[in-house]
Amino acid sequence: MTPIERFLAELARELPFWSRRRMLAEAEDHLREAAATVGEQEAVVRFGPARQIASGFRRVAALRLAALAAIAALFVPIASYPLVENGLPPAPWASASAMPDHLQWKLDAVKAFYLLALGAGAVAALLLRRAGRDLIVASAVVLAALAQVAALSLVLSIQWGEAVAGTPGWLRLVAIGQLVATLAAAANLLRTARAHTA
Amino acid sequence: MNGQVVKGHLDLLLLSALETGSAHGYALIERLRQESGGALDFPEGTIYPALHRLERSGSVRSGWDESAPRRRRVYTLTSRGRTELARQREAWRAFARAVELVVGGAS
Repeated sequence: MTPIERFLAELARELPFWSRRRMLAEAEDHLREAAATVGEQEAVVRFGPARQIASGFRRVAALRLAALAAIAALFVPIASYPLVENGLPPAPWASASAMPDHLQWKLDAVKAFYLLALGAGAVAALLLRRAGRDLIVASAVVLAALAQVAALSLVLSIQWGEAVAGTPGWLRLVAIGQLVATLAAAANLLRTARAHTA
Repeated sequence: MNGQVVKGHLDLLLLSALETGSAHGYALIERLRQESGGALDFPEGTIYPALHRLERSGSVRSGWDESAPRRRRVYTLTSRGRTELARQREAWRAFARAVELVVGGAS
């Protein structure tokens, strides 16, 4: 293997998948043009270590993955809804409008925060390609809103249990699971954002 | 000037180098080398993450030049990039003036 071939093989190993094809083509063009003047070995030395070059692309890939995790978190409440809906016993109130106020406002707040999360998620999906600070902000809004959904859902599950006999205790576990997953995604986003903006 | 110092100003350097016309990566490195009199010394490959970032932000656009001997990506400054260049250039000049006032030394 020539020095350029060895370097390109190493760079291919270091680069994230979606940056690989274009960056390898650009690197090869650069190295071969430089090699015409200074030779292959010197051209590779001047280009810089493969790991250093790839680190910029890895940071972008990590940010996109963190944003995708935030967008994916939107589906957790959707996936758990049938479970919750089928697990609830019949309510003692005759109609939805007769629901106790302390439950009604929390349910309304859950819906409002979820709509906010959906809107921010749509914005984040549009910003995925740019992978800049605005993607970090949009993803943070998604996770903050989902954390509110999970926290309110946990309180709702407790108060619902007090108001409706036979409400299963595992509903709280579903809400706790959502809250833990959302906070973990938020911690990952924060760590990735720090590395991205450093 | 070592790589760490250049790193913080790479966007400004690349936008400035593209101001004179479209170029591929190696040509940009040569342009920076010539215009700086050889003073700028940093790993050449580090311009590519910066160029890709500038493209994502809309400051440059790029396309494949199929007429070159090898597949070659050519970068061009956009109108948004010219605005950003003017902004960064002014910020740099203000910074350089301030630093010069501090480190200029007693005459």
